[in-house]
Formats: sequence, C-alpha cells, structure tokens
Amino acid sequence: MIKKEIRSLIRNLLPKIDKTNKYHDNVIDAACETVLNSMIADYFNKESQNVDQFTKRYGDDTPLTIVLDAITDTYYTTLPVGFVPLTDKASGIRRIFTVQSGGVMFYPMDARELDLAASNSNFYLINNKIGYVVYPTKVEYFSMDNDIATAGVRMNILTRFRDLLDTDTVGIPGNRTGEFTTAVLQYLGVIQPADLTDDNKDKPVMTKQQ
Amino acid sequence: MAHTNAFINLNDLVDRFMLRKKLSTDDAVLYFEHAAEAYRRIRRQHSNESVTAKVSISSLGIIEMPDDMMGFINLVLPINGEFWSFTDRPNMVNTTTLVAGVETRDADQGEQVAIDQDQTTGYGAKGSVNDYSRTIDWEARRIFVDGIKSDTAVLIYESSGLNLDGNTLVPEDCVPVIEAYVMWQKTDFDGSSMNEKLYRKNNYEEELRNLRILNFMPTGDELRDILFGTSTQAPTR
Repeated sequence: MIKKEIRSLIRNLLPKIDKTNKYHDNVIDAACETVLNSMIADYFNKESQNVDQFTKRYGDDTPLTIVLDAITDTYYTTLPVGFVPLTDKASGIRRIFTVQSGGVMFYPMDARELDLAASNSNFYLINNKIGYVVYPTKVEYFSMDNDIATAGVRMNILTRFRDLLDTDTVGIPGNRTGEFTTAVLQYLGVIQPADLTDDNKDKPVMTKQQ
Repeated sequence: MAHTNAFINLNDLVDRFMLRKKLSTDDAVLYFEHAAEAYRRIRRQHSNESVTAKVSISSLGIIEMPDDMMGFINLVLPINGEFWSFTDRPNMVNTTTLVAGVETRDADQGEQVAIDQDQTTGYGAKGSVNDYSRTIDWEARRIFVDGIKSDTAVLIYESSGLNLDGNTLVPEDCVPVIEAYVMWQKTDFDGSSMNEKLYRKNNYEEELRNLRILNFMPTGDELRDILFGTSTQAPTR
C-alpha cells in the first residue's frame, strides 16, 4: 500500500470521536511511524541483511551533494530525509554509493573508529574504501576522494514514515499489514471521545407536586 | 581459455570474505585491518616472496634501507651474470661524525677505514677472500658496506607487501590463511565463546601449515636433483 492509502485506512477504522471525526494527518502519521519503526527494528534483529528492501533511494536524478567543512576538514552530506534508526553503524543509511555505482565502496563506521583509523591505520593507508559515520541529520565521510566529492553520491535510506511521499509504497516487514493496522489503532485508541455532555452537573431534585 | 588471476587485491579480498561468510559491512573496517596484518605476518614469517631492488651506496659507504623493509635477505653485486653476496662483518665500524652539521666519516675514529684483508697465495692459502663486506644497523635502518662506495648494489629483502601507491596484490594461496586469521581475530570482539576462539585459532594454524607446505616443500625437480646429486652411476664396491 502507498502511504495515503494506509493513512486513509487507519482514519476510517478509528471510532468516531465527534461528528467531524477529524484526526490530524500528523497524529496518524506519528502513530504509524512509531509502530512501523518497531516492526522494522524487530525484523532487522532477525534478518539484518534483508532490511534493505524497505529503503528508498535518493540522489538518482540529482546526486546528493558532498560538502567540505573547512573548519574540521571533513566531508559530509546533509541527509535529505529522516531515517529509521537501527542498532548497527549504518543505522537507517543502509547504503551509499557513487553516481556510477561501481568501483568504490562505502563502509559504515562509528565516530570512535573514524578517530582511531586516522592514526595511520592500514584502512587509512592502503584502502580504497570510503568510511561513513551516521549522525541524525548528516553523514560524515572518511578518506573521501575528491572526484567523488565533486560528483556527489546516492543513498538507500530507510526513510521514516512521516518523510515518505503520499504516493510512496510503504514496506511493512513480513507483509503483516493486519498486525500493523491493529497496533496503530490500539496506539490511537487512548484518545477518548470528546465529552459533549456535562454529566457531572448537579441535577435538580424534583419533588412530587401534591 | 581464460582463468581467474592468481592474485587478488586486498580490498577485494575483504569484500569477498564478507560475501562468503554472510557478514554485514558493519565491521568491515576491522576486517580490513586484520586482513592487512595477516598478510604482513605471512610476508614476514611464512612466505618465500622477496623484493629485489637496486640501492645506492653513498659516498660514505652507507645504504639507506627502504621504508617497507622488514627483514634482510641479501646484499649482492652483479658479476658476470650472477649475484655475488657481500660478507657479513658484524664488527665493522658503523658510526658517523657530524662536522658543522654535515654527516661525515672520520678515519681517526676508525670510520670508513678499509678492512684489512690479507690475501696470500700458495700452499695453505684461503680459498678466496670477498672484496665486499657489510653490516646492518637496524636502529638507524642503514647498511654499512666496505670495499665499495658511490655505486649501486642490489638489495634483496622482505617487504611488508602492503602497497601505499596502488593495489596490494595478495597471492590466492594466502587467501584461506587470511580469512582464517580474520575469523579468529573476530572472535575477540564479537562475544564468541572460548570454544569458538580455540576452533578459529586451530583453523588458522591448519591453513597456515598448508601454506607453509606449499611455500617451503621442495619441488619434484629439486628432490630429483638432490637424489641425482648425491648418487653415482659407478658401482659401489
């Protein structure tokens, strides 16, 4: 299903909270994102290699720009969207590759490895790979090549639900759409219907007329 | 008919290793570090590969070691189509003297004084005396020579094999050893049990033995030469 179909399904399955039954899109998206992130994380823990099928590719039409931070002398790319955080070093940035998609590979690293590898490690001295460290809004590169920096890169990103386009297909791990829907509805079920009647108001005591 | 190469780039070796072992790239940096270390160890201890390079002998009779030189094999001069070795003389004077900041060799200090090699002929004389001698100063990474200076010699040495200027090519024979080494080192940081660690260590040692058999066992031709060289067709009485 595409994103707006999922949102529509959830909206129509929710109990009416008032005559308008208007849930804000952001509320539904946030609930979907929470449940989906959890399902993807579970799937990743069991089948880490296969989680890439839920990614979306960025940089195909226009390569993602690589910028040199003059102060720290570090190359980086600002991420085009937010990602689903996972427990490994690549997190939600599952793959980075060159525009031509060949030759040079990118390896995920953590910041500690980046610092240590810079001290004349074999990886630094004789490797032709490029390392990348994932931060919430950007990735930093290690051993970036000038030509690649000029050309830009492409990325497969495990995009968080709220940043998907309405027409994007949403991958639900294991095709468990039913479980996903139920979980989102339970999540939203804590919203109580608007109380339109003041039942706590003192009621007049009626006495029987003689 | 085309065949795959007998060498593989170290970078590709690590990629192929992760593919074969169904490993993610999460620890690829560590795998590469250990793979490079494994190859350096093989070059130093278990390989018959060596580098042959022309080296300059300075006017002070000194050869500067190449940066990648881990072990010395031989220092030779080409004479009549063959290499002739320098003789090792551990007691050769290997100090230098600074004069106004310039490195020299002071004969008063015994530096660069030609070694006295008496040559006698006639009954009871030595078979031969080598004109060229050398001694190695590992700390200064220099080789001091005697009998020749301001010339070129040929140095045969063990290199790290790790190429800074291009691809590091690894013989395919070494690949099983490197993979076994990386799998063994991986057990240090992936929470493996002691059993797993010992299994990986044994596996590495087994692969190493296989490589050493390949590298150091004499060939059939060599064995035949030994046999023919130590036997005679004349009848034994």
